[in-house]
This record gives sequence, structure tokens and C-alpha cells, in this order.
Amino acid sequence: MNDALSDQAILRQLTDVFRQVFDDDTIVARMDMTAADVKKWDSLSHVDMIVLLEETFGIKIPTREVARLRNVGDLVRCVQARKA
Amino acid sequence: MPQQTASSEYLAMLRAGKAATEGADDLPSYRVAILADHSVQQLSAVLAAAIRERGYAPLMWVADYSTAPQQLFDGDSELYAFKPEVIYLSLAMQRYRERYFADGNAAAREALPASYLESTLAAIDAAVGRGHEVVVTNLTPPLERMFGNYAPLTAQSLYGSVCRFNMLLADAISKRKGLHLHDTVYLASRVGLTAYYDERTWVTSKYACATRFLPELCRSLADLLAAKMGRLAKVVVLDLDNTLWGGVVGEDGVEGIVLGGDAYGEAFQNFQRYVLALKQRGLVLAVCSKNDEQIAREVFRCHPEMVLKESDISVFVANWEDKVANIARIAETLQLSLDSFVFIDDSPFERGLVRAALPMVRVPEMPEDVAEFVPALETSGFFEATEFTSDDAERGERYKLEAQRRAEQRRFSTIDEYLASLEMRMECGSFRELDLPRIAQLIQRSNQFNLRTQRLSQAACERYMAAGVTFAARLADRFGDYGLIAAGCCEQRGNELFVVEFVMSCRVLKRGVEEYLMNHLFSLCRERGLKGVRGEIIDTAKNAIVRNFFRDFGFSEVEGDERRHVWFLDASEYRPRTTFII
Repeated sequence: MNDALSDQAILRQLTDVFRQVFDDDTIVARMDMTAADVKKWDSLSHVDMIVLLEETFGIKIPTREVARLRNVGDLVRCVQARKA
Repeated sequence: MPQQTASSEYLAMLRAGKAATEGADDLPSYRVAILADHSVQQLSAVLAAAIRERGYAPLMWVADYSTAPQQLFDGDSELYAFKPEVIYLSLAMQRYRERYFADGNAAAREALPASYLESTLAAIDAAVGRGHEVVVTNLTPPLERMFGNYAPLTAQSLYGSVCRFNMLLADAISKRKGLHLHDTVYLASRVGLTAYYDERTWVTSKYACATRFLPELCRSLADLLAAKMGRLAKVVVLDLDNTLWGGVVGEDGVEGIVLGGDAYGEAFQNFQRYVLALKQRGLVLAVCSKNDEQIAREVFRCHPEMVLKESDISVFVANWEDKVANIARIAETLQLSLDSFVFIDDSPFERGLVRAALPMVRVPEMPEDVAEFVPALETSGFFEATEFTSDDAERGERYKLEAQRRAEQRRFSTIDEYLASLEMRMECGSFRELDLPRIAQLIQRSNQFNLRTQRLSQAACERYMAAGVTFAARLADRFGDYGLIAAGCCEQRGNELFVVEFVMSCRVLKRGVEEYLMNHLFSLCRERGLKGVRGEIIDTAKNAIVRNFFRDFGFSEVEGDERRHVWFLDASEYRPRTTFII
């Protein structure tokens, strides 16, 4: 499990992803954040966010998980599971 | 600084698209309505960014995808209230696939391409019938190949069915005025189907392709839209050494340059073949080279492996002056504006110089390897065509004759003497059906001699032909045939003849054609017993040459503001002009 990324490392990169997709340079990704907390996190930008997340971490998220990943904690665990 | 990924450009354009109308007050607007059978919110934003990149202020209107057909059929719909300049209809292969899967009956599958086209065209024709311009996509090839390599051979396969639909669609488009193709099949093939489709975002969000390809897709569409507004490449200016052949002819000699023979030499020939094909489809070729002219011409005359001949080049400039001055001179000789020029040169120095001094000239970045020239030019999107007519193929020849005329002009002491020597013959009459494509094309392409820049479509021209007063003129002289060089649409307003649109090719300026056509306008006016001619000039960045057009014929400015000027002249006060045109 040496390759597994820490929560903090993922949150840092996730912050970059959020800033690009939700077009807000003040966003900071936190573990307890959900789609409801981010104004521009709607169903359209959700797809953009997932695609950029995949490209950033070099992972592929399966269809059945895409719609469920509506909060940051789940996103972080999803990345960790796939980068492990 | 966020990490650059495949989607970075898409996300940047998405953001730019949302702000595309900001600070664009000085730009001409472009109203685009998007109708689709899939989600296009993101496409709309990226397209707005691409349109803004091309110098227009985009105004977008997007239909909910379930209501697209109703919007097209209902004359009172929001779509028509928006008054789009172009309606873009984007078709997803995935919707076609649903229909294919829905009915496995062999007869239904055989009939699917034609029936799908019929319902698509019914909706399109509703818009085209109202005089709208429509751009429709074809269907990208499916990845599914249940029939393996046999798939393209039968319409029973999804792949074969889509191919047949696309053929029928292309045929229908070529027979319709006001309908244009956005060739998504080509774009999807270029990037590769496995990358182009993202089945996951189709099922979750109904995206027809992976979003990271939206920039490429939308730029290609925006190139087409800009071309419809007259922003077309018309001239290709070519460097010679290390562009058309390898080596420097001034140093290596005609025998010493690399052309044909080995692999490297063949790559240059292939590039020349591509350039020749551009000429055959209507682009004018010019040479601009730092060379001794005699030596440069000798390559064209004597080198057995040359694909391009001296006769393919309309203007040949080889000297030691800087290329900026030379390109400006080529533009003057051809009477074509610099924003229709593409400059191809292997030297980064020359490219940089021309870009800096002549920003309106399009200067593609050329790769170091000549074998990659064509792919690089192909992704530039510079060579759009909105149609192809027989006139296009002969354009280079006409411009070459024009350059000869200019050379001859110097031999005569007075302009009248010269004009008389040209033996000009003009054919001028109302629009004819068979001239309509060329008339519409002239209207789209003319930027300088264009009084109101109304960009009437072919369908609109046809309506004026039926119900208005029209004129189209062809000119020939002893050097050759110019083809159709001027067109105008007028309508009766009260007891006056109003000039709705009047365009003329700049190649024939200042030789009496303006006078001839003004005489013609007033005879049209008198034939109808009308009091006089009313005209309007709408200023654009490019039509400065017509600003005094009416004043020079004795018209008075009767109303107007900063951009629009209305002129009137009573028929009884018009003094017909003499010309040297028979």
C-alpha cells in the first residue's frame, strides 16, 4: 500500500479539479463537503468533474459509481481504492 | 497551476464560452440556435468560445432536446423568435442506434436509413422553408460491429445502416439550398472512434462524444460558420525554398534541389499535389520568395519533378524585399483583402514577421518535417468552402489574367484609351435559376464592394428573383472571361426603387462597371415608372470603398446615423454615364 495517497494529498489535487470545473478559485475541498455545498456542482458539471478527476489521477471510474460520488469523502476513498 | 490534462482545453473553453459575450460590444454578433437529440449545454458554451475566437460576439439559444422538432415546425416558436442566423442541428449516432435496436425486423432495418432521413428532413425543411440557414451533422460511425468486416456491406448491420443514412443525407444536402453539412464523421475518424465515444457519459448524461473533443468539434463548426459570413481563405501565398522543394535553389542550383527521386523529395511532391488540389478547388496561388526571380521561375519551367507549373501561380513575386511588403503588393495586384490570405513558409522568422506586421493574414504554424505539412494545414481549419461551383475551378486563371491586364495598363497614356482597348462586353439581366449558386456565393464572399452586407442566402435570392427586381452581370474582355462579377436585389418601396443588396467583385473596380450598373439601375427604375432610386450604405470594417458610392453619382444623403447612410436620387436628375463597355 505504499502507493496509496494520503487524504491530504488527494484533497489538494481535488481542490485544483474543483477550481477548474466549478470555476471558483476560492474553493477548498474538505472531507465533509457535498454537492449541495458547492453552488455549481450540478449534474452537468458533475460529469466534467469526474472526467477531470480521472485524468488527474490516471484512474477510470465505472458507470455504476459515477452518479453516487456526490461528496468529497466518497471521492477521496474512490481514488484511494483505485490508486492502491 | 493546475495539472494539464486532456480536458484542460475543454474546461478552459467552457469557461471562456460562458463569458464569450463580455467585452464584445464592437464585434459583429452571430446568433446561433442549437437543436439536438442529445445534451448540448456544454457544446453550446464551447461553440460560443470558438465563435468568439473568430471575432464574433456569439448569441446562443439552445432547445431542450425533447422539443427540437416542435421548435422547427411551429412558426411561433421561441426558436424563430430568436431570429437565428444559423440553426445547428446536431444528431447523435446513439439515437439512431436506439431506433436500430428497437426493431429487429429485416424489412424495418432495410427501411431505417430512408425513414430516419425523411423525418429529419421534414423538420429541417420546415426551417429552410422559412428562409433559415441550417447546418446539420451527419452520424458518426458506430463502434458496434456485430457483422465484423461485413458490416459496411449490408444495411442490416448498424454500421452499414449509418453509412447508408450518411450517403442519403449528403445527397439531400447537395440538392437543397440553405442546408449545410457539419462533417462529424471526419472529425470522429480523425480522433479515432474508441476515443471519440464515451459510452459512460452517454448513459449518464446523453453526451454524444467525450467532452474533451468538444473544442475540436466546435472549432470546426465555427470555421464553417465564419465561412458562411464571408470569412474564407481565397489566396495561398507560398514560400519556395524548403517549402515547395528541399534546399535553396540560389545556392544549390536547379539540379541540386531536393524534389522527387528519393523519399524526402517525394514528400515535397506530395505537398505540391495538395497545394495544386487547393488551386483546383478555387484558391488562388501566389509565390512570395526571397530569390532571384529568373532562377526561381526556372525551377517551375525546367525541373522535371515539379508538380506545380508556372501557369498555376497567379502572382509570382521573387525578390529580396521583405515579405510583408511583398504580400501587401500581392493583395493589391489581386484586389483581395489580406484577411483572405494564408501564408505558408517553413521559416519561423518569416512567419513571425508576417504575423506581427499583418495580423489579418492567417499564418499556420508549420512543422519541421515536410511530410507533416498537410496534417498541420488540415487541422488549421483555414480551407473551408460553403459550396463548389464551376467558377471556383477557374478562379486562379482569372486572377492571372488580371495581373496581366495590370501589366498592360502601363502601356497606355490615358485610362480611357486603355479601357477602350480592353473590348469589354457585359451581359446584364435579372437573376436566372442556374446563376443562383454563384450569385449567393458572390454575396457571401464580397466584403469590400458590398453596400449593406446583408448576406442574402440563396433561398433569399430566389425569392427576390420571383418577387423583386434583380440584376446580375457577367463581364468578359479580350483577355478572357471574368464570369459573374456583380449582383443586386431591389424592391419597390412606395414609388421608389430600394437597393436591398448590391455586391461586386473587386477585380473589376474602376473600369466603368459601376457606371454601367448605375445606368442599368435607373433604367430598371424608369421601366417601372418609379420616381427614383433609394440606396443605403451600412458601414463595416471592410466596405470603405463604397462609402461615397452614391455621392459620386449625385445622390443626396437623406437620413442616417453613424453607421447607416440613406441616399436618394430622383430619376429625372440622373445623368447616364458613358462607359467603354458594350
